[in-house]
Amino acid sequence: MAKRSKSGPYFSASAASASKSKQRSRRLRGPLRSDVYEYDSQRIRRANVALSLDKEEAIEHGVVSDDDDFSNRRKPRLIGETVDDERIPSDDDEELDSDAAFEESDEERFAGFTFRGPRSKAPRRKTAQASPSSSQEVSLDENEADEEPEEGDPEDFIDILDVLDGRADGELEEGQPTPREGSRETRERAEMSVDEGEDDEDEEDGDGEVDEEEEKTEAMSADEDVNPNALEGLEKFVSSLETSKKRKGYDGFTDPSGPRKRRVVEEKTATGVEGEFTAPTSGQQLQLDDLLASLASQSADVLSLEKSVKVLDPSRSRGAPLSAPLPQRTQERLDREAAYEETKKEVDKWKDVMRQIKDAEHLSFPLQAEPMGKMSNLELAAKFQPSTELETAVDRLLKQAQMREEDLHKTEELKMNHLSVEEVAARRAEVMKTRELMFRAEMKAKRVAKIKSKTYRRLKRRDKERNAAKLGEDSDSEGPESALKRETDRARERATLRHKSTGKWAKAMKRRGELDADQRQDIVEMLERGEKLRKKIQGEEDGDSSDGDSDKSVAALRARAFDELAELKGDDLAAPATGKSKSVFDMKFMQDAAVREQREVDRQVNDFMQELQDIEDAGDGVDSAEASHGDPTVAVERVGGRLSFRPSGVSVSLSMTGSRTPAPSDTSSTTLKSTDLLSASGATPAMSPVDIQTPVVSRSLLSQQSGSAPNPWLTRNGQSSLAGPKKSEVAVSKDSKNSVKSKNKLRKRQKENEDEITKVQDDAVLEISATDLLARPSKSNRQATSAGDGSDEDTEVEEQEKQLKQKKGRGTAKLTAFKQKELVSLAFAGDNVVQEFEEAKRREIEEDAPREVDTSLPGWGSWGGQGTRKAPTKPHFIKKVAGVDPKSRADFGKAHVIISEKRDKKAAKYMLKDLPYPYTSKGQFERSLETPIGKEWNTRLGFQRATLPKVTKKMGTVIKPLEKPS
Amino acid sequence: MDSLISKASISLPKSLRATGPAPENARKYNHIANKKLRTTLHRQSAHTERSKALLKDAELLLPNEAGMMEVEGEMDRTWRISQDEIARAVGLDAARGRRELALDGGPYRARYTRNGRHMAIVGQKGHVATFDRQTGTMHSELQLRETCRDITFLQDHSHYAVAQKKYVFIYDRDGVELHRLKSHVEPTRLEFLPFHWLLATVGNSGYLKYQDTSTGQLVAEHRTKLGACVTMTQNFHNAVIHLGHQNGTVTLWTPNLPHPAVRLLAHLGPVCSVSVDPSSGGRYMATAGADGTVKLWDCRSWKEALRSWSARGSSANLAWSQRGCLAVASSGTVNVYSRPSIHAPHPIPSPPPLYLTHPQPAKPLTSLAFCPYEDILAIGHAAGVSSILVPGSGEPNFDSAEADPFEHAKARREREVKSLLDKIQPDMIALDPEFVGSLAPPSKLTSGADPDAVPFARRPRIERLRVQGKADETENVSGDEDAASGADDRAPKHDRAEREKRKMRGKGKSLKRYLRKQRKNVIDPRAVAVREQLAKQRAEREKARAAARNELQPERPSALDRFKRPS
Repeated sequence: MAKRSKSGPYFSASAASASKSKQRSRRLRGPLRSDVYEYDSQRIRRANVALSLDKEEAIEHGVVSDDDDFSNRRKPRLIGETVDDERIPSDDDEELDSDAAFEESDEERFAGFTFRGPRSKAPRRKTAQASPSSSQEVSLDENEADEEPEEGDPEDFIDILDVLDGRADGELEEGQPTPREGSRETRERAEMSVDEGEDDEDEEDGDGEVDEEEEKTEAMSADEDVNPNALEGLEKFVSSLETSKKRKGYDGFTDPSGPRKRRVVEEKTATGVEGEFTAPTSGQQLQLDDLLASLASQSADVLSLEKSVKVLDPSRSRGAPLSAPLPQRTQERLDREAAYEETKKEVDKWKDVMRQIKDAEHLSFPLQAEPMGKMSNLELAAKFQPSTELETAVDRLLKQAQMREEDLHKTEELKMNHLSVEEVAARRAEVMKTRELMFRAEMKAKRVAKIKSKTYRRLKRRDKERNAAKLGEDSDSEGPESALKRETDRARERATLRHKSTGKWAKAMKRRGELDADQRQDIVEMLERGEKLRKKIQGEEDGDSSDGDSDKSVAALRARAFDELAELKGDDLAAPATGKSKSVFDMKFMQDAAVREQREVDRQVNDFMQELQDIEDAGDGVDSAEASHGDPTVAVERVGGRLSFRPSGVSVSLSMTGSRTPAPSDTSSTTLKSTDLLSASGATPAMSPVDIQTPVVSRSLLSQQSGSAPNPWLTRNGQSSLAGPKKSEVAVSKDSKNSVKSKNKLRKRQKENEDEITKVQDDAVLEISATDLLARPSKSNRQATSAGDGSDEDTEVEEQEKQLKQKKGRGTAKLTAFKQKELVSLAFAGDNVVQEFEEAKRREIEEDAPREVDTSLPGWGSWGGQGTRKAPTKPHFIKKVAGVDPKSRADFGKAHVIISEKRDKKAAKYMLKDLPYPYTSKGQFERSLETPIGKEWNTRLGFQRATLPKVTKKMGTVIKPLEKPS
Repeated sequence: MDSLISKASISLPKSLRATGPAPENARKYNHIANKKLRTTLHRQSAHTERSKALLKDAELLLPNEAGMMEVEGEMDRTWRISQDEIARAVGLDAARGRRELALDGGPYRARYTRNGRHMAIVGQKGHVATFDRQTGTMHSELQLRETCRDITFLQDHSHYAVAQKKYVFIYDRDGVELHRLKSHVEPTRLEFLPFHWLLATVGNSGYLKYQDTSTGQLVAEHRTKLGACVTMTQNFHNAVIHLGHQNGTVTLWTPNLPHPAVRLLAHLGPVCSVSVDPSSGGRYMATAGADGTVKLWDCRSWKEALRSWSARGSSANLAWSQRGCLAVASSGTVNVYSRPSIHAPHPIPSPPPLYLTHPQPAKPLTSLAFCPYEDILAIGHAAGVSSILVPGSGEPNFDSAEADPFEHAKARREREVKSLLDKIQPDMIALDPEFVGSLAPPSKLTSGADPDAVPFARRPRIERLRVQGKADETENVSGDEDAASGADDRAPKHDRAEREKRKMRGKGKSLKRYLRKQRKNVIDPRAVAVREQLAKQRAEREKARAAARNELQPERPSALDRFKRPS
């Protein structure tokens, strides 16, 4: 903004900034559209720089070259053109950005240029600021913005510009309005912010050179972005000056639009030869800046180079002499100060964080929380932006189909619109219910799937089978595949030997001994199956083949049997009727035979049916009898009952354990060892043929028990006797209440042990008669015990009793105590114990006390002879030995004790000589040691808390530096 | 700006965070200016209180309670209850503790292991036996056929030492002789210090010897100069050995000092028995002399005996239980005195109220040993060993990390290794067991030198702090009393000038002093202005305070006010 105001005092900051932004936007647009025109113009602009400098030089030196003349000659024509175009409405003008209008080339030009005679730039500005004319201008602006002719003097501008314009085509190309127009525009802008503009001027005045530099760098960097090969541009421009003139007409005063620019490109391509080393056609001198401009890409180097060059360049300086640089030290100090401020600002950002870290009781790295996990799907979906082609395509399709999330919502809402509120609610409720049910079912399935119980699984399986069987009953005769399946099942059963007790599992079970109800059930099941199979093998399939689980099933079986029989009847009748084929069976004699056979069969069937009917009646009777016998709750189980009918069942003996059997309940476990079978406990009817066996079993069991696991109550004494069989010690248990009992017991045991004792007598250890020992304590009466052997045996109790009595009449106790003391002192009077002790204490105190040692040698440093007085020893001969003052001793005033005050040198190494650092008193430090740390003296929590390190981190984690605070 | 650092990273782990508010009885350090120290101390005190509270909570987990015999009526007495009645009343398992081992072979001595599981007995005529008290299995039984005076288990029941006629012998569990300690001549008594792995012996020659049983070295050898000694015990609290001598003194020994740390004239005749109370942290000691008296002493103050009484018969035997029951065995009776009354000081020589008594006819009664973690007292006497039930004598809850009565072989091995690793050096035995790591007490040595003559830099830190006025004087620990008073004497000397002078090294350099002086004489208008401002503020404050106290009368307008300058 500053540079704009330099060229004209009326430029306001806002206008400048607006224009700048416009230009920026154009620049941004440039590469996007790959607009060649823009590109070109930039190049031309750069070329301008060189030219303008040329001109300035020329003007300043007063040397007008031919080229200048040429440009001057051309100038009127240019103005004529511009005059023509000045009729363009102001709207267009405004559209032209001031940036384009005033390039840095202008500034550079105007910077060195004196508009009116020899007047320097600075004073001109001053007048602009301070002169009443300028203020008038401002006021004019405020009042009547349109009054162009009066204000300022555009003619002047034009004139001067005319002078300059010989080489000002570049700016015109950019769409440069005539300066007058520009000024008007700026004035309009200035209405808004006059003050700002003035401020800017001030600023600029102050800045001087520095600003110029900045401009330069800005321009350079700006060019750099857009125009990397500026040198080419320069040359092109130089070579195509003629064409640029033509272009002026189009571009300078009309809207810069696409097609025109393109035309320009065509023209441009027609012009001169491109090349790095092509000589300038216009014959203008190549300046230093031109060269430097080409190096713009290496901006940093160039900048420094330019800086150094500028000092040499008289055209840059505004005529004023350079101020002397600050002394190096001052300069450095200023630099340091500035740098310090910056650093401080930067460091202060960390202050809060560092304080937190310092104050923290505990640090666990990483200090900055990691971003939490993965993004959820919803989040991803919400943030999704199609980036690749495929994604965009899919997105477009979805959009078209209205299948995106929000569209779905919309469509749903649309559908809802047609429904009434109740309907919507009902629908929603329905959906909710379904979802809920589904959820529950899912949860239940999950839970069920997790159950590991074998029993549960078995029950489940059986249930399933039963269900399947129920279904199968209907479709039993449905086809060959079911029959086939049954056959395979049976075959598998036989193959797997599930029914025999010789299997691996059965053996394992047998070996295990104790079984729980489930396992027992399993075994029973297995055996049942085996039995069933065996029956099948024996051909009794029909009789009891079914499981016989319930009466119902039996009835069903019977019904099925009847059905079968009926079928048998009907079948034979139907078969010949249906058979029409020409086989042997069709022959007469065969048919006769068949009829005969049929008749026979019918008869047999009838007989059989009759028989079955009889059996059925009988069976019902038996069933009812059984039910009356057994427990109603367990009557279903009929294992025992069936066995009893078996002719060969003796070989497999079955123990009928139950509540009614006299054997102990534990027998079941042992019976498994001896027999193959066992029954479920509690499910047994009373009538069992094996009852005779049980007492035997139980007895053997009892004996076994007593053999293997001894009863601790019974055998404790025996064990204790085992503990020290060789010794003569006798353990006396005092639990017995009456002495007689214990005596008897003891006598018995004595008799038992007598043999043992005689054996051990070799050891020659005296046997203290146990009866004697026992006799005394077993008497519960105290009076009786007091009459023991020792005269003082139980006198303690007596004495206590006596004392109790004495308590009522006091005094005597004291007297006796006194007597005792006296007696004792008398008894030990000769020992001098007390005196010796006192002497020892005195010696100890003397040893420890501080003392002075006279180290002077007698006869040295003193006169001898008669009449000489003994002079006191000089103080430096007296050595003071530090010691413990008798009064400060721990045993001071305690005659009966000597406490050593000597220093424990070996222990001294475990003590601290000085108070450790952070603490400021002994108490603080001691309190820090007060609480033990070890886990023996603390709870787990207390221990962990006390030993928690200040800094923790997970093993193997990388500790990253803290992210910068914003 | 919200914090850059996550909150969790600078706070304690959740499991260790304090759940409740800070304990209110934690010590406050608000007077300390140094913020860092203040925070440290606050945290420290809070932690102390919290861990105390946690420990208190954890006491709930102790399953068993100690019980005592209690009487119903006022006229009834607990000592009237005989062992039969007790054995009948207690559970069967506890009743098994009542045993009579009738043995011949002279008066017996008995010892238990630290966990109370195993027992060792030794008869004077050389019968040695060790066995598991609970299961009744015998580990070893030896007939040594020479005079045996004492027996003790070493770290556990796997080793035991026997004081035999000439030397001390170490046997393993099975009774295999492992070592003959030739340096211990004619031992009479043995003690094993479990945390230091030291076997201490004293003998007829009057030498007290410490042998390290882990390294085998003879750690210390002290000549008592008091003749043959037959009385020895250890203070479990600080591992100091107490010896009773013929001349009636009791001496306290540590391996560090070649002379007794304390000598106490306890009795007029020879000392027969000494015992230290483990329940009170080794505070109380009981001695019995041949003169027939029993005395109780406070081992901290060493004042006159707390209580003394004469036991019937001449020489009594003493033993303290884990929970502070004192058993006195003399002339055919064993009397047990229980805790609250036994510790109470009692100037008149009279026996404390009796808790339990048991007649033991087989005189003499040579040893008493309470079984740890059981209510059993083993009495060694001429006819063997008998054990009686003393309800409430044993600690009901054992610490399995410390001594587990039910430990198996593997646990025993592990504990042995661990205790070896945790072994304490013999140097660390002192009267005050907590001296390790503490600040050395100020020396009592009074040298003639003036303490102020010591240059500031060479003084201990606490004194430097005191001089600088930085010491925390609010803390007056009782032990620190005299030092503080000494400081008070010196206090007036150290006026401000001196404090400044001695503040830091380099502070008193000539240039700095000069500069300081210069500073004083400069009249800086800004400083003057500030000073004036301060004075003004002070005056206003005074005024306000006075107004608050209603002392200030509102100024009456006077005629001279008109001459006042408007301020």
